[in-house]
Amino acid sequence: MRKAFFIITGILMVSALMAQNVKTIPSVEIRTLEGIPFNTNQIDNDGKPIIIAFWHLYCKPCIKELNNIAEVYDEWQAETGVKLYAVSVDNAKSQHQVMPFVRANSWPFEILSDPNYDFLHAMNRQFVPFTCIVNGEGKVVWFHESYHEGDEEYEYEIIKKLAAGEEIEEE
Amino acid sequence: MKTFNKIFLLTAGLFLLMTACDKLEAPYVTKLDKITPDPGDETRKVLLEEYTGHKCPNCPTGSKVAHDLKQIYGEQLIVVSVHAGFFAYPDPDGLYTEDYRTTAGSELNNYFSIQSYPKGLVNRTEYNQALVLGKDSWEPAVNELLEMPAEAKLEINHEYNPDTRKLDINVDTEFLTEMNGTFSVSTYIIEDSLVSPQKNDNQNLGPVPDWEDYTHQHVLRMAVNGTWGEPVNNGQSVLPNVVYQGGCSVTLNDAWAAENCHIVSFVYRNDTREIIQAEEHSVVD
Amino acid sequence: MIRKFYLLLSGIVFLSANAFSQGFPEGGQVHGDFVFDAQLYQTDEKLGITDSTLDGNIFGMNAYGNIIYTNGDFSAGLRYEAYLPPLSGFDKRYEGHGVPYWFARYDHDKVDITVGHFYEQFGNGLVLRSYQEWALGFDNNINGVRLKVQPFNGVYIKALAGTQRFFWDPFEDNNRAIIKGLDGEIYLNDLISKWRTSRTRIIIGGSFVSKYQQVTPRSFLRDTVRYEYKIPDNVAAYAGRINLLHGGFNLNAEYARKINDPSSLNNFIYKDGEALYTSISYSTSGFGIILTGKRIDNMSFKSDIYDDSYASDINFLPPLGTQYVYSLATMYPYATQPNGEIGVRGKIYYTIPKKSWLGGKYGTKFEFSYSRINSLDKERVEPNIPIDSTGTLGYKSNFTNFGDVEYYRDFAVKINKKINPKWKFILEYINLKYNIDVIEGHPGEPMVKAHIGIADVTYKINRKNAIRFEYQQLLSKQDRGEWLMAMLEYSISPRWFFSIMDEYNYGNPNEDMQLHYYTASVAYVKDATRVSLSYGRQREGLICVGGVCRMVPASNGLSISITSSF
Repeated sequence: MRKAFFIITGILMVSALMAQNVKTIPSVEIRTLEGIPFNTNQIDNDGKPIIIAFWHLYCKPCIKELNNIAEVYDEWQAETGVKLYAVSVDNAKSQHQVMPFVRANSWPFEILSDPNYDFLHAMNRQFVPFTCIVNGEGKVVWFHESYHEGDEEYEYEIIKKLAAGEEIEEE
Repeated sequence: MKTFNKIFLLTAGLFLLMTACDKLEAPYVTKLDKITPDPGDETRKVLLEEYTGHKCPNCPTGSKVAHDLKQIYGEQLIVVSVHAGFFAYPDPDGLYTEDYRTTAGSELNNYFSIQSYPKGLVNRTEYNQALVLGKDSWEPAVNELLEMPAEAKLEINHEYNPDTRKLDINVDTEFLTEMNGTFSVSTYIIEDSLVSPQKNDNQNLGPVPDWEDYTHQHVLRMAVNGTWGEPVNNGQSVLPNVVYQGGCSVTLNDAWAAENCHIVSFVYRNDTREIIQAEEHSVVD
Repeated sequence: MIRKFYLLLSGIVFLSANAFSQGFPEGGQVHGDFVFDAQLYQTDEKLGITDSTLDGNIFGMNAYGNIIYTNGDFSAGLRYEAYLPPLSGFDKRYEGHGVPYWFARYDHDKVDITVGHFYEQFGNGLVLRSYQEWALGFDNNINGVRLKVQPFNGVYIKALAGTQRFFWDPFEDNNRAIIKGLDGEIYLNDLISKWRTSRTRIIIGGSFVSKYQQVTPRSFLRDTVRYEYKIPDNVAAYAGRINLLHGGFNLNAEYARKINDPSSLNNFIYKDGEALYTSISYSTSGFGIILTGKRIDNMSFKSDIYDDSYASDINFLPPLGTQYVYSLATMYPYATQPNGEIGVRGKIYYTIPKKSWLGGKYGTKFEFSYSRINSLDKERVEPNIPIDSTGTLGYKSNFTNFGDVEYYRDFAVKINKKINPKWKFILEYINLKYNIDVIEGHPGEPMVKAHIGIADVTYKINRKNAIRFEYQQLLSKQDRGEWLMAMLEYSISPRWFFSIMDEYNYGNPNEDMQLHYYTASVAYVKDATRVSLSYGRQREGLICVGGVCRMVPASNGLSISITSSF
């Protein structure tokens, strides 16, 4: 037990020391909602900020987050030009329900499909909801795991700063 | 690059197709001549613990398998039926009021994490990487173990006083080779021919869904020297040609028919809990 | 082997990330993540947990660390895992630690090569799916080689060969199968230039998977005569699929077949297996409908024919029952019966538009779903051989008929409504029938019939603070009887989260088990790190993710969970 703990801590610390601050979106082959192959390096918004939100049809907080953003998305886009990619990690069990669900909810986002967590794992995550914000140069500037009521407003503060060309600092 | 791709595809495709599949034709089974293991070591005996319950409809089928195995292997197979877990609970009224559960049985059931029934342990030894075995694996597991030479010899000596119902048991263990580790001997009492209702879903065996005059065999009644028995050696190893002795005593419960009771003893390795030898003796000679 | 690779990899990672490194291209990145879940168990007499049942196992821990290095077209990574010992409810065979996953990959333009371990899925997974589900303790990654190429525009080919992970057991002596697979997918609109602008999009695909395992044949007794099974060394499975998209219509269909594959799970019958999974949906703004049909017949496909657990699955048979998210509604989750089942499901999503009379200012969202799953309709192969007899073809089945045994039924309605910026609620009603005998293997137990009602209300106090309240009730006369559940959550965005919950089994037929299962939790989130602590009783239950379920025993104690990435 103790040994393993040290090994893990060791790996963590060494890696954290070596890790560089610049993080970009990894290149992973996934699909669009229509089933067309999509490489995640195609994620782009002409130099304006991007939100990537990983979600699952049966994840309560995920749906809540995206519903909440959907309501204010028009406003956000008008002010900052932000674009949201909603990456569904639904597997074969619920994958085919994603399209009717998204359309019935009139979500205005770009929907991607990552049924085997290839993209999620490449982002070093295992669980949803997981949201990250990418700046105009394609650098990941902010991560957030889990969702609670009101988190989207915090996200929007960051997006506004990015749109205004401000630096995002770690707190 | 394109040529490479085409060549690769062609090779991969051909390779896959060539090794694709073995389509079999009926009959899908071959009849074997031998039934008894080969080479047989007649001194070796194997213990089958059958986990069951009177409200488990699948269990008579399991008991039938145990019964058939007993027909084949005779004295070389010892069966203990452990009534434990969900299906062994007695109802307050109705057909299933009998309680065959025992402290030792419940503890074993817990220890081996048995959650579905019927299940069996054969010498508490893994067969094909599984410890808890479905009824179809009992026979091959018994067979495999019986093909190995015996590592120990057990002798049960006992004295039973029908008036006081006191039973004194002495178990002599003789190891056939020098072995490392601590070994323990457990002694159980089992009872045959207990007639009480049993749920059943196999029409070929008897009435369904309730088999009211079912005969329960090999029912575990108690562990005389505790669930895990007592160690025979306190050193690091055991030696051949030395008799390790252990004794225990019990007063038989009035509800048990002494003439249907048997003493079952077995010796096992403490570290792996694997049983290496077992022995059975009736209480009334 | 693994250790060497690990050293090598650490070396590469270290060198390249080191400022003094020379000769390695600039721009390499190292990142990774880390999860630590631990639990301290305590005795709880009412749950039957005593010192002797705990037997010293008062602590459980599952943890992993993932490190991935990327540099241009090249990437490599590894995952270290430790289960010391595994948390209660996880397979005990995980106990230990090591590096069960590492890879090196080169992905350039139209060629993508991976050596080491990888995850893959063909189509819906009916013939091959290798994936990892941490929460479930499931990982069947393939160790081998994979090549993906795109020979023509719109044509995608994958080929692979390898063996699956099985806990910590190394592959040796045919203890599991060698898997070879080929999958092709054609996007007709990309391949055929005339179709490029067509509104109708068609994708067709096909896959072929072969497993090779040479085992010692087992024998069995039939009326005291001993027989030995003939076991095929090579077993093939193949599948074809189509996806057709036209405007709001979307049709998906996949059919898979498998040749004779006797195994412990199917009781050594020799029938071919088949599976059909099909769905058709129509959707437009504010409305969506989807119908799904599924038929599974003897389609378990495993790396080891003698293993009857899910751990050695090569394929994935998606379950059909609705997946619920509220705790009491997850009490009876449906798991696919790989030996055979037939079912249908329908689901409708509808949003009453904003500013209409019923829709109010924000619109009102409705969901209806219905599903029904039965056994197959089986007939004897020959009049004198009972159905499912071992060592025979087993049975014949009618392709379209539903069998007599009901496995699962459910009907659910859900309403999701925002009243104003402060208040919103979700109401759900579920009615289900669950064949606990077949699904959980509790023979003789009666069909569970349950009504479940759920109310989920959120009150947003201000920009940062919100309260959420859940009330659920489950009514049933079977199994563990009636339950109610209440939960209160308080969150301070974006960092803090507190909750208290009680599940009360007030209707348990066994009065001693009419227990409260209380839990209190707190979580803290900062950027990519989340720490949560919870204390309380956990009821026994099934945890299902995707199609696989595991039984979690009741427990009591303190849990801590940390997830982080860098």
